[in-house]
Amino acid sequence: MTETVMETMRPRSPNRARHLERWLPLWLTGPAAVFFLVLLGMPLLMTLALSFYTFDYTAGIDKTLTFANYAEVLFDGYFHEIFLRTYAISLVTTVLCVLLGAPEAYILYRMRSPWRSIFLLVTLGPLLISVVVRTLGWVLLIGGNGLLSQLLQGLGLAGSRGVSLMYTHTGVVIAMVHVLVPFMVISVWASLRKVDLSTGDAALSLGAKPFTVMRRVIFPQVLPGVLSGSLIVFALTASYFATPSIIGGRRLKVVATSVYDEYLSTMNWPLGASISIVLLLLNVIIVMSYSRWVERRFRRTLGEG
Amino acid sequence: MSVDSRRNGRLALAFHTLFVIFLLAPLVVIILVAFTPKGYLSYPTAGFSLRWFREILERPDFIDAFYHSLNLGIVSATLATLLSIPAALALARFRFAGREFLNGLFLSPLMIPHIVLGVAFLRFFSEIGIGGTFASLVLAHVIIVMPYTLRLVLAAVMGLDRETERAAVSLGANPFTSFRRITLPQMLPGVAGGWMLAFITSFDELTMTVFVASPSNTTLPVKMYNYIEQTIDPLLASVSTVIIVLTVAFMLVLDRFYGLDRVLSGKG
Amino acid sequence: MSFLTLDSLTKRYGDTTAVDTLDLSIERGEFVSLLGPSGCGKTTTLQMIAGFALPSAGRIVMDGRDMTDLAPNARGFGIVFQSYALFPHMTVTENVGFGLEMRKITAPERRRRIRQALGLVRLDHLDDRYPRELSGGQRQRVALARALVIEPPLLLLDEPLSNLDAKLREEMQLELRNIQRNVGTTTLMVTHDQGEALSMSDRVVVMDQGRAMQIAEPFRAYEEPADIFVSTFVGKTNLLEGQVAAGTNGQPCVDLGGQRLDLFGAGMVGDGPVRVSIRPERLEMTACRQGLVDGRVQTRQFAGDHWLYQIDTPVGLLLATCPNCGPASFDVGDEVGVRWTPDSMRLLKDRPKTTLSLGGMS
Repeated sequence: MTETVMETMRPRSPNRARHLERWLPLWLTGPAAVFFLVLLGMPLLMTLALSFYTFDYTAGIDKTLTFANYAEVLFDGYFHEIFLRTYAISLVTTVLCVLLGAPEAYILYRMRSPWRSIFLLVTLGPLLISVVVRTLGWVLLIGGNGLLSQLLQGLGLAGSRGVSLMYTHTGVVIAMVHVLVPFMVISVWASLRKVDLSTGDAALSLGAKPFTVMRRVIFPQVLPGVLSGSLIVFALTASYFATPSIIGGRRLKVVATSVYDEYLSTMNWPLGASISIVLLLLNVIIVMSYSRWVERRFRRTLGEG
Repeated sequence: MSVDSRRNGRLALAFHTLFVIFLLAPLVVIILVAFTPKGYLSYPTAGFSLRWFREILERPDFIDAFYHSLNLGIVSATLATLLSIPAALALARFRFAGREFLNGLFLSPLMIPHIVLGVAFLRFFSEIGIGGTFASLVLAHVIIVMPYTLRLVLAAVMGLDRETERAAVSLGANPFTSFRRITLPQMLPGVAGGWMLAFITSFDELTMTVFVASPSNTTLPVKMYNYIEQTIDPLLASVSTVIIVLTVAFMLVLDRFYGLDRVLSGKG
Repeated sequence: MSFLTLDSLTKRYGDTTAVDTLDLSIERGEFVSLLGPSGCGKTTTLQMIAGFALPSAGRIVMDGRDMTDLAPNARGFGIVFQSYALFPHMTVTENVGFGLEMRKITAPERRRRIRQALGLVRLDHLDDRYPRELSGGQRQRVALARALVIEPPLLLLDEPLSNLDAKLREEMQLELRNIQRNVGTTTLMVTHDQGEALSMSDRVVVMDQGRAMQIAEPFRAYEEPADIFVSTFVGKTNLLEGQVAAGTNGQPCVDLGGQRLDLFGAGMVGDGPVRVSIRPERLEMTACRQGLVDGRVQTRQFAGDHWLYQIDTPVGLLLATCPNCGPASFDVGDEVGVRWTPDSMRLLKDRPKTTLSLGGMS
């Protein structure tokens, strides 16, 4: 392939061809590479360094190296609770997104035009709408005098004080599912598009019932989509900021909001930096090991997994 | 059993209806509240009012934030696209040392939590003395939107029929003419789709921007977030309604032009 | 002096030789096909002539001018690509006009020549369409018009008809050949379809494993295949194993599993084991014991204009075709005789390493 590129680019002498082949890709990627190495590499390295600095509430940041920040993040029960809460919310959110998003993708896929494209737009569109806006909608819905509370009061299921899901796990999870479920739909949708629906007809012709067709023939083929959607949802939830911050508030701290507080309230940057580094490492480890597992599991049957 | 094996049953349609209600409910509620005539959060049971939309015009801080977001989105999406086009061409068409590394590097912002990028940029920009400036916001946003532009431009380059370039050359075009007249126009839908996705991603970004924005250079999501921290009143609902309407319009253009599912497969 | 000459043209990719010292001379106005299975080097040859691949050795000379190292955009050849490679973002007119634009031809002259070229391929009415709005056959014609409008000294066709369905392909074969005759452009076509090569070309180059196995007029290549590969790749044939021996009357004859058949003009290959090639249409079916060999009809297929029989005989499974002149004369299971004239036999030497089964067909 490279060879044909080179040949259409007219270096007739082999030396020039080799020269061009070596340097052209570097010139083309150079600007972006330098940009990324400086603007991504430097800040991350500086944060890594910062996470080892000493902090004192009166003296501020001191460049004496210490493991104290990591010791606090890794061994303090306060942070254990925050990390556990974060990953528990992520897990529940992911499971709910699978249960809602995967069937919805399949239903969408079986729709006729124009309904299919209309509802695809309705389902995926919210991804483009600001997270702050979407979360605000949930605040209005589940807050103290929100629609949900009024509905329950009207039905006589709630007292005069109403029901608020603000600052509860339930509230955070509902809003998180709402924010992230389109990612699951799009991911399953992408693998459905590669599925030959006549395999379902083939199974029907062999005597399978519609539910069996779904379970034994269609689902296994879209499983890679479900799995990659799950990874996206889990990883995003684990580091999500806006929704847990607005709905969970200070009472239900997750990792991202505790980083925010360390940086902008307590001003303990070294501690905030070490929380971030731990979060980043956990994220990378989870993503890498999960992808490797998925790839090994599906390399043979479904190609790219 | 239904006659047509590829049609949705009643149960499926009921599920679908609930799902759509779940997705749209918060947006509908915002729009309803935005039209309340009252001074506090309530539904417009006694008639609709534009009072809270007029209120937006009295708030230059929100209008400034909107323009900052708009400029930021346009500048960072454009820069990211300009960096992506040559990079995508190199990644798609050459096998060279470091190719895998660069591909991973350019896509890595998808793997790094935005909260981590936020604190990293906060430290970096304040150390080099450009903290809180518009330029620093642009630099940070180019990093987070470039994976989207790169993916869509890359898909466009890979999907291109290489024989059309050979055809152009065989008809007498030199490599530069062939690129300008044949390659680039065919990449254009991908480039435009990438730009739009990058723009909207930048426009909506909160988590990272909350760390790098400053009171004089703040974006609309950050402005709204800080406002919510203080109080929640119908002004937020009317501002949100404006955002929803603009986004839906934008989304329809994007869908018409490129296919929303194709664009969003590149997100996440 | 020939118009286009390929002189020991060779292309190596690492250890594999895609094209192996190919020599070919093409006359002005001639229509020549490179025919062979995929991977035989025919496409690589075309790529080298077009300038998209650099030869490892050898020369390409056109009209006395060495083109070997010339840039592809300076060669000025018209190329019809397998995928057509129409520019999807340009209308039919813009596609056809692109080459003229590159030649800086003035707009009025350009319009005139585009109209002329589109008229040639009978597409005048579709000039404002985009490629995706055209059918496969129409795209093919646009590709042809785009290649011809620049009045190239040489037209290169890369599997031009392979994306069309069978019926359309036959129509286009005729039309393409007619256009080529009218315009008179020297043409080189690459194809894997032997029927296409035989019906369209003045000469065919049958290629295998990077080498030209035979260069001949279609009739000669079919009737006098140079070797076993050509005999099986060009058309269908029966390949029988035999032994050349001296006959009773001093005439050379061939021994086919005990059956001794005189050879008249079947070509001598010397003594020893040979393969005998007989085309299915040269076999005549008769009543039992009236032919050269007897056998039993194993299968019968109806193919519209002819019947196709497989007959199990002591010399092997024979494939015979009979023109359809009414209901079939024989049924599956019938005992029949098969006969053929000596001049329909072709004696071929085995190429070493190639093994072909008896009665192998392509």
